[in-house]
Amino acid sequence: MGYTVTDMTKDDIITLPHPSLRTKSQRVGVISDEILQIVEGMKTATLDWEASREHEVGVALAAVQVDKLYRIVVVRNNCEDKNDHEFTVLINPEITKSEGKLVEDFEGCLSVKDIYGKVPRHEKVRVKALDVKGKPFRITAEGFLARVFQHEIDHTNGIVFIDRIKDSPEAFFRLDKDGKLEELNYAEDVQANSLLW
Amino acid sequence: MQKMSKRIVFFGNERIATGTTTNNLVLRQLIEDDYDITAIVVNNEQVNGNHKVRKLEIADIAEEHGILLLSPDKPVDIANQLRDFRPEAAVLVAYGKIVPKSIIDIFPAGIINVHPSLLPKHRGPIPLESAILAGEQQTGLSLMSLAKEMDAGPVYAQTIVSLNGTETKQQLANDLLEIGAAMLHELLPGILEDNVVALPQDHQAATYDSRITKQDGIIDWSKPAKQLEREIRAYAGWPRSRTTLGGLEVIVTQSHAVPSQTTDAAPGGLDIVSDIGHLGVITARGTLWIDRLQPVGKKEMTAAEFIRGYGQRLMNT
Repeated sequence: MGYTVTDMTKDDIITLPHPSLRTKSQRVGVISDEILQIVEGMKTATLDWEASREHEVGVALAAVQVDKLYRIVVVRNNCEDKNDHEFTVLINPEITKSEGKLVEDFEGCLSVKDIYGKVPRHEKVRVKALDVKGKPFRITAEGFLARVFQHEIDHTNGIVFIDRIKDSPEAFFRLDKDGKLEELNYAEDVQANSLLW
Repeated sequence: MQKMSKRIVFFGNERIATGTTTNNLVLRQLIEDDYDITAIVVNNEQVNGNHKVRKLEIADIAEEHGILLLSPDKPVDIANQLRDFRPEAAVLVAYGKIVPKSIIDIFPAGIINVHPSLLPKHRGPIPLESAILAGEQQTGLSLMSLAKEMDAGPVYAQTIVSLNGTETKQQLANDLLEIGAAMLHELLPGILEDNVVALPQDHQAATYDSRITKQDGIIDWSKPAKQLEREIRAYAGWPRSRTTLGGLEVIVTQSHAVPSQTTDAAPGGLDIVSDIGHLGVITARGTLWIDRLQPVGKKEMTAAEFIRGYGQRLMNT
């Protein structure tokens, strides 16, 4: 027996300035027990993180965020229902086509503490990936789900959402403990924040 | 990736009818559905009940869940504060103040109003009472996108409720709030994503009701019995239905109307059947049989108990 099952927790999630987050992940060749173990750990870590937050939902995670440099993404099946703990697993996901106009909306990242950004993303994307049995499948996603895929597939390429808005002074926000969403001071809180860049 | 819960401001206290209490079913559902309620905006933090001032039920929920409770004189007084919350929408249930367009426009998905009538019927402040007063066979609940003109915004959805003519105001208020909570649970996600279409009302068919006054609470025996029976249900709690029987001021709390009159007495005259405890009052059309009543300063009692206690006084008048 190769691996012991130990569920990952929110403490296994790495945050900036961890260098792995800006590193490109490798493709998964064989879906081994190790890979399946990572997939399960990604799910438990996301749910554990969410349990510690009052008004936030953990909607997806890339393997790099638990410091495993593989192209693996897990996405919550129902982002509107915290009680639905099912995920869709995408191995070696790729965007095959981006369509529609660019839409700005808020997104946050479990690996970027306390910051929300207004990030432009395509309205619609087509994604291809393998499932946990290695079978290829395709998804066409629109709206919020399209945003989620673009955010996560960026992770597999070493891109964090703030990299997409780094020149937009009005795109950075912070959600404080009372649920208030405040615009950040771009020069002080963003540009001069050495943790981020 | 993570996302924030949808940010919602709640307007109102959910007292959708005069003189009723509320369990705040709509707000509780929104909290349960994990919306981030950034603030609750109410007309007053207290209610003036019959002779006593009490804290609103909703104030307790605000405290329990750590939600900011605001009671501005005018909604425009908190415009900047509302903008700072960056809310996606507001939900409004019995706010009791006019909300100007400049405030509605703060919310990208608008203000969703839970209105307890089948709009365009019974626009105005007393939809529930007026459905009872009009003897409607059905009423219901409308989810409306708040517009500048009172209760005239486009409607997302309606649920119809059948009435059998015995509903009390409190019971109807509870039922309609429960329906409103269920409808928001189903539809609010789609409304916020702009996937639910609101259809304009047929303004030609609109009816308006004006406020109830304290004066409405004095029973006018020259009205038909059937009408008075409805008033007693519609005015329960406030302003209530008062009259004088045998020189004694009473509040009638439950009654039923029959079309016949068994005596030649003028409206206001009594028809008492002591042995079976029936207490009737002659009206312009038919007899109103009082089932339950409350002498001022006493407990509520049945007609039979009232006759046993005060029968002698009634006979002498």
